[in-house]
Amino acid sequence: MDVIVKPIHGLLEDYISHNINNFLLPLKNFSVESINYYSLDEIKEIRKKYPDIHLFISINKNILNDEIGELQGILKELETLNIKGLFYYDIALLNLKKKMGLKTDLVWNQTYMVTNYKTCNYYYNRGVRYALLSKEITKDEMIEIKKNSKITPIVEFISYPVVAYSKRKLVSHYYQDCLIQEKDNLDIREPKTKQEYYLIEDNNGVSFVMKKLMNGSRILRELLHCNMDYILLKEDLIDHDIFIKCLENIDFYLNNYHKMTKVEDENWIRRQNALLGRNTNFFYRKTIYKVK
Amino acid sequence: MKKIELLAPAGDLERLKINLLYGADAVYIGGYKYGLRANATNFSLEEIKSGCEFAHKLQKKVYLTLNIVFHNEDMMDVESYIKEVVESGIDAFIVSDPFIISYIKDNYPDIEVHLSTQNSTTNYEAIEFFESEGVDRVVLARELSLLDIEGIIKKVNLDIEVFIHGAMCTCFSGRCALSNYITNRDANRGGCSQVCRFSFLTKDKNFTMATKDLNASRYIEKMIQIGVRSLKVEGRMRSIYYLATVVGTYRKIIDAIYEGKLNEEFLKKQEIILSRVANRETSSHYLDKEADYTDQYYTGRSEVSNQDYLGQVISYDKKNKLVKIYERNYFEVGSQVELFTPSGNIIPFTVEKLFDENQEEIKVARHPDNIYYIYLDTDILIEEYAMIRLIRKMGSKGL
Repeated sequence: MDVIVKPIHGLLEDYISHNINNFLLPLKNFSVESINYYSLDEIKEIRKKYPDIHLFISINKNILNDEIGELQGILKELETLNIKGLFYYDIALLNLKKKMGLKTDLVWNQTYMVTNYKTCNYYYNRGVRYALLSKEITKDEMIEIKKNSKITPIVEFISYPVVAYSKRKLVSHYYQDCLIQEKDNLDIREPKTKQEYYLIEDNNGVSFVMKKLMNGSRILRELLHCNMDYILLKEDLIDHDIFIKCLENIDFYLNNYHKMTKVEDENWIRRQNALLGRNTNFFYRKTIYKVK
Repeated sequence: MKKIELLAPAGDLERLKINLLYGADAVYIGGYKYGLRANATNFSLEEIKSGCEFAHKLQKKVYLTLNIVFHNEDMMDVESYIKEVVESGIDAFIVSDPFIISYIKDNYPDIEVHLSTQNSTTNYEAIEFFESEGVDRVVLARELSLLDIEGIIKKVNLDIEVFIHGAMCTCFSGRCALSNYITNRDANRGGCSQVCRFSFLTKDKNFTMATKDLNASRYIEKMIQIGVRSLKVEGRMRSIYYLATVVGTYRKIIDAIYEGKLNEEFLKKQEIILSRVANRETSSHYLDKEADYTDQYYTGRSEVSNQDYLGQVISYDKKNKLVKIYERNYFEVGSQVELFTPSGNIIPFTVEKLFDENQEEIKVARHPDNIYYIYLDTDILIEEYAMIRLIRKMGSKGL
C-alpha cells in the first residue's frame, strides 16, 4: 500500500523523511475544496526540486467553456512534468485526454459519486486508471469495489471531510448582508447535532469542511488485507506536528502490521485516536434514503 | 422550426395528467426505485404504464428518473427494473451514472437517455464525451449563465435542457453531502433532507443559506433564440395548484412568443401569477449575472403560506349554473375569484351565491376538503381539472 499526502507546505522534506513519495497538489484556479493551491510554475519548481517523487495534480473544479483553452495549455505543460495522475471532477478532462492524446493517467474524483464497482470499471474501460472512492460509503463497500473492479482505488483515510461545494459566494454575501466586515471564512454550527462546519471561500466559490477529523486507522488492517493500493491523507487544517506524528505511526504500521498482535494493533489504533480523534465517518455507518 | 419543449414534474398520476392537460409537452416522473425523490409518492409500474398511455394519446412524452448515484447493492436488480419500465412505455430515462447510460444504450437503443443535472454539466467538452456515449440530451447545471448556455449549444449536437422554474440547490447538484452528514440521509440516493434550508448558528447571528426559487419567465424568448430544446420546471412534490399555475403560465408565455404576441404588459401579468403561487421569492440566479446576496435568505427564511387556491372544480351544472368544487381555502360571498381551465380559459367573477354540500345557501366556505357549489353563469367550456383561485377578498386589494 502506498500513502498519498496532500501537504500544506511546499517544502516536502518533512514528508519525504517519513517515507512519503506520493503527493497531491491542487492546481491554482482549476481546483477547489482546498486550503492551499499551487500555480503551474510552483508545480514545475517542485518537480525540479524533487525529481523522484510521484506527483498527482488535482483539477477538480466544474470547468466553464471559457476556461477550456487555458486548461488545454496547462494540460500540455503538465504532460511534460511526469505527473502520475490528474484528479478530475469534470468529465471534460476525460474528453480532453482522448482528444489531445495525453499520456498522463486520470484519477476519477467525482467526490460523492464514486460509489460502485461497475461505474469504476466503466471509467477504467475508458482509460481512467485510478478512482478516489467516496468517503461517504462503508469500508465493506470500498473492499467490494477493490475486489470487483480493475481500477486502482484510493481511500481518503485521514482528513477534515469536505462535505459540499457551492459556486455561490456564501461567505462574503453573508457578511455583506449582515453589514459585518468581510472575511474569507465562516464557522457555522448546526444546533441539533452540534456539528460544526468551516466555510472557506475563494474565487471559485465556497467549500464546506466538517470540523471533525476523519480517522481511518481502525480500518487500515482490512484495507491492507484486501490489497487496497493507496490511502490519501489530507493535511488541510491539521496541525503540522500532529500530521507528521501521524505519518510516523502509519509508516510504522505499514512496516510491522503483519507481525503485530491483536493487543499491539489496538494500542496502535489508540495512539492514532489520541492524535486524531475517533471519527470513523461512514466506514461503519450506512446512510439511509427512505424515511417512510 | 420545432417548438421548444415544456417539461414538468409529476409526483403521481394526478399530477401527470394535470401537467399535460395544462400544457406540458412532457413530464418527468420517479418510479418506486432509483430516483432522487425517494420520499415522494412516486409511480408503480402499473401507474407508469397508465401515465404513458395517457401521455401518448395526447402525443406527449414521459421521462423516468433513474438518477441516483448507485452503490454496489443498488446495481443488483437495476437491469430487471429497466426492462420493466421500458415495457411500461416510457420515452426516456434521466440518468446520472454513466455505467447505467451505457447499459441502457447497449440494450435499449431506441430509448432516449438524458444526462441528469446531478452531473452538473457546465461545458461543451463534457457534453462531447457524453454525446460519444450515446446520450441524447443533457440537463445543464443550474449555475450557468445564458451566455454559457449559448456557448455550449453552438458547440454540441445533442439536445440541451435548462431549468426555468422552481427550487434551487445552494450547492452544485451532486456535489453536496450535507444531508448525509447532518441527518444520515443520502442526498445522492434520493434522501436529501434539504439541509441547506436549515438554520445554523455563527458567532454573530443565525446563518441560513436557503436560495430563493428560480424564475426564468423573462428569459424564455432568449432561450428559444439560442436553441435550448427543453425547458424544465422543478418540483415533483409540489401541489396540483402550483403545477397547474406554473405550467399553464409558461405554456402561455411560450405560445405568445411563437405567435409573436409577447409584450411587456402580458409578461408582467404572467409574472404576477407566478409570484402569487410561490411560497418563496424568486430570482433569475445565474442566468444574467453571478448569483449574489439577493438570491438567498441569509439570516432567516421568508416563506409564506399561499392561500389563493380556493378549490378544484369537480363539475359544472350548466342547467342550474352551479360549479361544484372541492374546497382548499376559505372564501366567501363577495370574493373576487378566477376560474382557470387546462386549455387556458380564464373566467373572472365575483362569488354572488354560495351553497354547501346539501345545496343550502351559505355566506362563507370555511371548511377545506368539503364540497361547495358556486353560482356561475357562463358559456365557456369548463373542463376536468379546472381550478379556482382568489383574486381579491371582500374589501381588500388584489391582483
